[in-house]
Amino acid sequence: MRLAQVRSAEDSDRHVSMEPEKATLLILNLLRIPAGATQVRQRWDFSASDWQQLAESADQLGVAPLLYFELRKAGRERDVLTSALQDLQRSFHQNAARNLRLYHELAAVLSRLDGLHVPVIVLKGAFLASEVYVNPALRVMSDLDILVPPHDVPAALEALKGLGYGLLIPPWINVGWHVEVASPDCLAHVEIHWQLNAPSKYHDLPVEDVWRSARPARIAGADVSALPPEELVIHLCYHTAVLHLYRQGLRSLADIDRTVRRYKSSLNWQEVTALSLARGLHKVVALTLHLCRQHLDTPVPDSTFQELHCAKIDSNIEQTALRQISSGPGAIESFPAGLWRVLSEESPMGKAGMLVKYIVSPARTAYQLPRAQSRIMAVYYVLRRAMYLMQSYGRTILLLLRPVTRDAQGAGVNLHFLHWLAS
Amino acid sequence: MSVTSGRGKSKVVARRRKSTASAAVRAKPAMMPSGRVIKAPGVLLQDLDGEAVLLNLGNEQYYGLDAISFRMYKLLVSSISIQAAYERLLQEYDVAPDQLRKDLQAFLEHLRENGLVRRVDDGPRSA
Repeated sequence: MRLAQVRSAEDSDRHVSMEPEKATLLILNLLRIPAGATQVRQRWDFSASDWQQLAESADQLGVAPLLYFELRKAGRERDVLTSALQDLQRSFHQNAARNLRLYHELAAVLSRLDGLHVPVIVLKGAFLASEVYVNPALRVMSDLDILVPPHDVPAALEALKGLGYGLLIPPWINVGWHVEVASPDCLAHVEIHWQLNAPSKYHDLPVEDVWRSARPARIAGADVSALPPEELVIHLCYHTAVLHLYRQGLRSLADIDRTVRRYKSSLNWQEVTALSLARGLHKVVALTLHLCRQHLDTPVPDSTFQELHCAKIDSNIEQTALRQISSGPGAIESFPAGLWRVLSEESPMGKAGMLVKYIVSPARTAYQLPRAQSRIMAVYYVLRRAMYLMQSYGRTILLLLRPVTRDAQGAGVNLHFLHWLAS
Repeated sequence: MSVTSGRGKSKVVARRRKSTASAAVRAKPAMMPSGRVIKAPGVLLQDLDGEAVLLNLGNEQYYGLDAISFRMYKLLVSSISIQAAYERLLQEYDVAPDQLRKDLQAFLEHLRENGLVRRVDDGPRSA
């Protein structure tokens, strides 16, 4: 009989919940890829309630399918509480089915864009599940992300409208570097990107560089382009750290870990460091790679951290990042990460200036969309966006515009952490 | 065997047979429904390294198959007849013939009810 089952009776009336950060660290430990056959089989001494919470946390942190797969691959299913294993297996199957549906949709989208000769780079989940994880059931995807050249955005939008897709949210809510559309049954969401980064004075991921270095790939039965490994690592680090402030759970760390392992033989670390430094992303990349190496044994060379001028990461910064990871993806919806970055400016004038930019830049992009090709519409979009932001987040914006706001109480984002990432 | 879907779960205990010699002694095949089945159109299959998921695009329902049910499914849609799939499973698994017949019929019924396979009653396929 399994240890967990023996202990379940004594645990049934002991509803002690595990700290989220402890659950995060335990899941990271379970996800570590064994170093080889010689690795000592680690004994797990988790109670039934621990297992149940680990399964729930893995689901919330976006790695339940991966955890199930790794447990199965290591032959450790029998060491896991039956109900927890069943929950993980259900997540695995659900995710496989969902991704199957998304790839089916992606195939139609890519075929239509290919017919119009619109070049496409498949980004994030759809690329990673297929080419990095190889098993498409392992990577949780919420939507499909494609990058098209800026001048092809109207054609891509029209192509998707031809497939029955419609704008998911009004353009003034969009964040300025992509537009989100949904399939007629709303089961698939596609983000059409034309830039890889949000407007920012700190960081830049020049899309021209990305197109120049793109390499061929075959995804969902279509010939497309993909980011080279160096750009992929940087983009993943940027995405999780800057855009989501690490609140995407563990999925992003697993992505980076798998990417590094997948392209280990060809990954040019010197290029990663050179590009990161040139784009003002060296701390972002260093901290993210440090977290991966520390907790998933990701093979990142020491020299990379030295070249990124981050040979040692402040433990407070690391702990803040772990807290952000443990808070899970749900919290990101409470306040746009972009606004946190804008409002992390030191001076009130700096904050106000960045806030104006945050409002106007996306509206200018919306102005370039096919439905809004007049100045009147541009002004309308700016006003609607400002109204939307004030209605949704006005109180917090006013609070953060004050000069002495060291810590965003209640929302759990440490401004020191934001300054460190941007510096 | 375990099939998970929005409509519940059925479980049958079966173990993969280790010795083919004992299989020959114990196997007394029962008769299964005639004809064969194929994967229904509009159904997507994803092999998950032993397990699998079937997605019916018609009703957007998915069905998770564990290793045994996936093996049963693969044999059902690739064999020349349901009977042939049954006999092959009887060779592979340490299970009583009657039990396997009941399990396979229930599984087949589940697949058909959910539009995952289509019955083809034209007998064995020509080689």
